[in-house]
Amino acid sequence: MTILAIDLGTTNSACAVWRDNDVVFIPNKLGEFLTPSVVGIDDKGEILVGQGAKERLITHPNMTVAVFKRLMGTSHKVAIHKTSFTAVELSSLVIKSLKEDAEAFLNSTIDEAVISVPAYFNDNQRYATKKAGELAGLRVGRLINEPTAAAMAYGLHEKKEGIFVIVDLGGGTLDVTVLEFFEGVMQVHASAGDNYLGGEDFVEAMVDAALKAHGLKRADMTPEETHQLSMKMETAKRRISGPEQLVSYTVAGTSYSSKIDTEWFNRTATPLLIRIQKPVESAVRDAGLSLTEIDEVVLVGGATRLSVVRSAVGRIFKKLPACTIDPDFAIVKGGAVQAGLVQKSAALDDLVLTDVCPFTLGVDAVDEVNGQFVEVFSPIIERNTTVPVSRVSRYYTVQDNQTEIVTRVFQGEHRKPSKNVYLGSLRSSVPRNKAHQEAIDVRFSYDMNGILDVDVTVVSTGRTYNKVIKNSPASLSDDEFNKSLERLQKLKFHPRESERNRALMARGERLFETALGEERSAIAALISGFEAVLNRQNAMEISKAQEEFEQALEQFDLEEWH
Amino acid sequence: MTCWDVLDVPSDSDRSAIRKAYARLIKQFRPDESPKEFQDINAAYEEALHRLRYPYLYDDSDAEGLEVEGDENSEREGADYEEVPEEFFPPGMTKEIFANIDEAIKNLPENEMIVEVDGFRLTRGENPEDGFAIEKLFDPDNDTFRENLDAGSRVELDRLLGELERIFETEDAANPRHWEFLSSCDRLLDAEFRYQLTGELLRNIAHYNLARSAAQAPIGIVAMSCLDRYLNFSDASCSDYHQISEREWHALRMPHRMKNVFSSGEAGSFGVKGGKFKRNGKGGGSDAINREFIEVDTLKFVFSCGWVALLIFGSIAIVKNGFSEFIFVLALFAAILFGLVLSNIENEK
Repeated sequence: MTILAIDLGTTNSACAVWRDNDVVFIPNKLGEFLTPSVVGIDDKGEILVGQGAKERLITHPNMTVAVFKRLMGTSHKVAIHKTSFTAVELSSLVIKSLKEDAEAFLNSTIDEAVISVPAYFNDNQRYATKKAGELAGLRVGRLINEPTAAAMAYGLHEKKEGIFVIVDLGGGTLDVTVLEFFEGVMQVHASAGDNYLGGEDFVEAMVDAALKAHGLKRADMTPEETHQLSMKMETAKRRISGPEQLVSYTVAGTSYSSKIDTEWFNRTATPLLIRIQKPVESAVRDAGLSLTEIDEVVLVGGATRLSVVRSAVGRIFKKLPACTIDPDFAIVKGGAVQAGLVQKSAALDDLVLTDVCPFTLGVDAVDEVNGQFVEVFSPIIERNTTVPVSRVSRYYTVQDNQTEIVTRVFQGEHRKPSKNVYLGSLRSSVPRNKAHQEAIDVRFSYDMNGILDVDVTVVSTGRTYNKVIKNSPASLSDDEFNKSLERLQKLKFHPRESERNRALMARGERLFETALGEERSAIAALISGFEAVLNRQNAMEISKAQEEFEQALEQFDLEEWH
Repeated sequence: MTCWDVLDVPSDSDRSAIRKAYARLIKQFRPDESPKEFQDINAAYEEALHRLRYPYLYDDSDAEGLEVEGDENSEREGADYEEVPEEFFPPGMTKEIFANIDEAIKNLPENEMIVEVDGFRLTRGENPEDGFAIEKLFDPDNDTFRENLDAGSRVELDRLLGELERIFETEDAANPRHWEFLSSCDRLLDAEFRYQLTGELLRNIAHYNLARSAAQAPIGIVAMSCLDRYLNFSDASCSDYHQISEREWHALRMPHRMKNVFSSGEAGSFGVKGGKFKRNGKGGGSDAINREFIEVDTLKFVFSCGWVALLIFGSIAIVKNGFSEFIFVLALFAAILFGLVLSNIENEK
């Protein structure tokens, strides 16, 4: 029995397993360890996942979607061509592709997974992630918080004891976790985060700044032009520490260019960098510590490769951050260790991980202030309480002859219930009586997977009502789940072996669209040459042509940016 | 069972012994396998560390001690500071100043509400048992924190404050667009700098809100939320900023966030015993009541429906079959109503 660890990222996903007392990373069909979290439909109406789909973001923006992790837990649908998908369905396609890679690599079937989620994911988002796994045919035994996973990878790697802060800036989310490692115990003290701050936002900020300098607006651009500019800025961002770059692009058919250097980028990034300190401060404060008590700051997530991010974190902590683990693989590595723990691997007997509930959970209640009734959010489990946890709070009736109490469950930090996330409700009947004479005990139990169980006991009658919070409007009901499953099963997938060719062709087409003049016709010749080889269907010839074609494209890709 | 019993260590154990015991126990009772035991062990662990950090909050001889203190309360008023460790004094407070304040309060005429001593303002509470509220007065000319900043930061601080002052002079200072420029200041990453700027800015906003003309809108939650994105003060408390007094803090329209009970360091926070969660210092009835209810009194509703139905069925019965049928229908409804009244009385009990 092997459990697959999946890091389902905003930009890239990865998977690994725990085998022979160590972490084994799994390559995808292109031989790479990172699979872009991009889904598309090709001209034949077949589903494409990963690099092949990513290449088509520019050439076929209407047929390709990316960054859908941000829509997890919402009922928002994304249209690809004529079909519309929920974020859960799109994620399940990515998971399914990872699962197939793992099954091909390990040569065995896999039916269970540990999936990582940002610590700041709320209940709906966690539930959606679980469902995505199930749609892909995997039982999701455990969800693990991403920074906790990263911390585990780091802690095991360094074998140092002390208090660590993990700053995880991925493609779409920022997570900050304070944890302590001692005597084989990895104790998470607090987590905080920003669901809308990640590497993608730096690219967006660059696009906005470039357009603003020319007095242009996003609304002026066609979707193709927007995707092209974003993609170019993404590449420029990766080379930002190098010499000045000239990025040219078209807006409404007219050509423009922007000079991009480190100083310009730093200025553009500052408003985003300042937002890092808020979750850092909250997490450290919630842990009951001060910044000076932190022994080590660890950076993970692809966006922490940016030197501005490293120096900003350094300034916040007044300490050089440690970069001894690969930021792209820390999370999936930790996930694989967690999988090893679930499999009860003997090598991990001496390790225990404790985690926290990163947000406050409570119910709405009425408070009497100076004779007036005010609606307030009444917390039952405070944020950053160690899980699993079970807490009880008692509530009384407010009206004479009240016969029913509706317990409405919320998650968030705001005093007003309406400003928090609504998770679900539970009705209970109480005997007719004077106000304040009848009461209910509301028990919240929050488990290791971040799933909330609500029990209401009517004090006078002893009758209990129970609800596992999952049927919120945003998550799937069983009926919807089956419908999704049926729909996804009807989708056509590429045969695995042709995946590499598709990715190469898509890459060629992308280059063709972005290149000009001489280069353009050279690429066209390469593409038709490769197509001719594919049509002859000679395996030996194809594999040789693949290599040549790839090398040639590599050349063009490099020249384009220099 | 005390936390020491749960962890199976003596009550004078040090941090390292507590942690060793905790590590040993939770490897035996893992959070995913034995959630119930784990919760008790974790609660005991947190309490043990808390006791170690704040021993004076858990005076074991307290039962007797409290009563004695209660008896002598009137004579000892104001002298409690001698027992409080100095690290818990407000910034700038010393034992000497406390003594001076004590003296000033004793000599203060009954009708005087406010007295200022050594840079502290004391405000008499509305009721005699409220005592005095104490707040430190900020002296901009003698700001040691500001002097600790490096020269470059001080120049930048003055530039930003100058810019902010100009905003206060405009008609619509409450418009959050004015404040956006703060987002481009990377010095905000330095905590000292940010705290200094935030303190001075919040004090100015408080004064603006207190002294604004009728035509000017107060700087409200929208602008404050915008500022909070860069300055991160909604999590903090008044005492984090030495420039701002409690009175000024209350004049601010704060985007509110919950306080974390476990990090606030209150002794009462640890009410978790045997799975029961006792609320901190709050009585049962007034704090936690319930919300939605059925306003329509079901019983009255059933009664009125009953009468209407009786009227209709009765008329039909008389017209069609004569009087005896009517008696039967009447008896049926009487029986139903009697049953309802009985069940209601049962509920009232």
